[in-house]
Amino acid sequence: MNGDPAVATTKKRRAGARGVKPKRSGDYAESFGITCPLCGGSLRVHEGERSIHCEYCDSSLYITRPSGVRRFTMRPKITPGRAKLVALHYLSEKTGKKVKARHASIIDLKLIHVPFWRMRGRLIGWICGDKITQEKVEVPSQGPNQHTIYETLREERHPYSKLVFKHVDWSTPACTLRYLGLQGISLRTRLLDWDLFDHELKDGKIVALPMKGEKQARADAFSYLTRLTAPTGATVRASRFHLFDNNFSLYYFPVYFLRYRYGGIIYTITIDGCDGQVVRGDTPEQGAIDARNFFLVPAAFAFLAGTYLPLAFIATAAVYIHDMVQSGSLLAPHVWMAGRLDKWFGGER
Amino acid sequence: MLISCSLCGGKNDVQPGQKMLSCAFCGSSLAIDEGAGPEHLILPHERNDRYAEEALSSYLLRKSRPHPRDMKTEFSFVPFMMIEDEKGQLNTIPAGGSPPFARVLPFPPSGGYRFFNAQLAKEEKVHPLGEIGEDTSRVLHLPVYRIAYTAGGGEWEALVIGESWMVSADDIPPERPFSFNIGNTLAAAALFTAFLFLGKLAPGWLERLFYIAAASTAGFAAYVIRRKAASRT
Repeated sequence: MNGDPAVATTKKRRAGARGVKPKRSGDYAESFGITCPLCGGSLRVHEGERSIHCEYCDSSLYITRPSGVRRFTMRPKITPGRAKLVALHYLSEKTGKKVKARHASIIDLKLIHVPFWRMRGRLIGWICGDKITQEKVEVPSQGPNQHTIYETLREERHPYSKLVFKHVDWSTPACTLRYLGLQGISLRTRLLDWDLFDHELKDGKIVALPMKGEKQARADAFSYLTRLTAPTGATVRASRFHLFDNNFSLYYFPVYFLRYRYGGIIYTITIDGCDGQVVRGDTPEQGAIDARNFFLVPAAFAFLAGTYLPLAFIATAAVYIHDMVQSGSLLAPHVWMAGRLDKWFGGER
Repeated sequence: MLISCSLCGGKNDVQPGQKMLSCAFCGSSLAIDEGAGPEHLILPHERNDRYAEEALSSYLLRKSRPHPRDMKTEFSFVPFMMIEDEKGQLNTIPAGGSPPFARVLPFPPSGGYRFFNAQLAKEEKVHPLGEIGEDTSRVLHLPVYRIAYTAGGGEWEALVIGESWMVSADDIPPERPFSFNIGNTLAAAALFTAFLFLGKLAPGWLERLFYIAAASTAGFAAYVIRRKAASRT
């Protein structure tokens, strides 16, 4: 095994190897093999695997290098054509059938694999702190009217400590998903269909780069666990956890990302690649009008103009003066008129 | 990038982010050590000036800004580095060697990243990588469109990131003063005419008030009922 100093532990031996550090760009680099420190047999190790059995001498081995996490991916359950149909149906529905397929021009449809960090294991530990309770108590008045009794809130702190045994399944997005709208996807409900991520398949695939490192994701996970195990309304003074069968992995979830153009503006719709549901839809605003202004303003001006035409102009001038006083600045009448019409009839934004 | 198997000498292709692979020739597991510096990647991209200009027009239109004119587009691959901040979040900031117009990105675009190779730029301009920070975890050469345009009587500049078509601009033209909804305004004008005509049928001002109030209330009620029915379906 390339002369690696294998370090023995009480139960397992550490496997690893030393080699020439590869260049991470360019056309060529060297590698090093992973072999059993006891018998020298070549080991088959998957990325992110920590504990294995040597298939030649049956030794239990612990992988120290290289680090890395297990990665999983899921094949999309729906075709791009189906995703497009779902998006167009959503668009038609959300715009009250005013924008249909023939109105919107589709620019592109991409299948993106979005990374999520996921931690699974059995949590054992303890937590202690104070439970805070509030109760109403009746207190006699301290003043001259001592026979008067009034109610007050009393806060009491009760120390607590508890042992925690819990199965943990936690996940968080590993990249910026604001523009994909994927915060709501639950990986827990989709346990059965994951395949090992094959880096060779990655060529040609569109993959979002993880923006949160493993270290930070682990810190977030333990912070979440502390909050999860603490009783409601309690403070945490100290805690200590151990996670057994710790499985920290990266999951690539497939989503379709469709861009279309309508009225010169580009919109996007994100579709779950597994169940075909729209995760996030960006549709043209229909400018739902303020119905009160839409009917009241023309009616008021029609009444004034029908009764005595100059009254309509006087009312317009009054609104203009009112707006100028309110804004504290002087606008040209045509600019003010455009703004005022937009405010009355421009629709909600 | 090719990796040579230390056991059989076979050449294996390795992808960005990969830390272990199985030799395609002898089947042994090969490890790629860490500590060899950050990965240097490039996001291959087919240049498409029209898409970039449409992305900019859409961006400005959404913000009720004037339509960009006289657009002059330059395209190049700009080096960025990903650095972890105190909160553990990776930030994408311009690396040494990037042009002055490059700025911090909220996130890098999704795409099929490859190990850096200038040939993947397909003869487009590639800004050479300069110095990078010690804690850089990745170096990315990203496709960037630099668009100079005129709008609202001024000259402006914006960046459009290829693949994500995200627009980044420090300054954009001021809002258009005439941004009212023409369709709704014309509909309101038609209502005004209808109410005026209805009012003319009334013999006195009190009857006119009654006619117009009744008609506008009926219109309002019909609109609200129709909207509620539509939202229910």
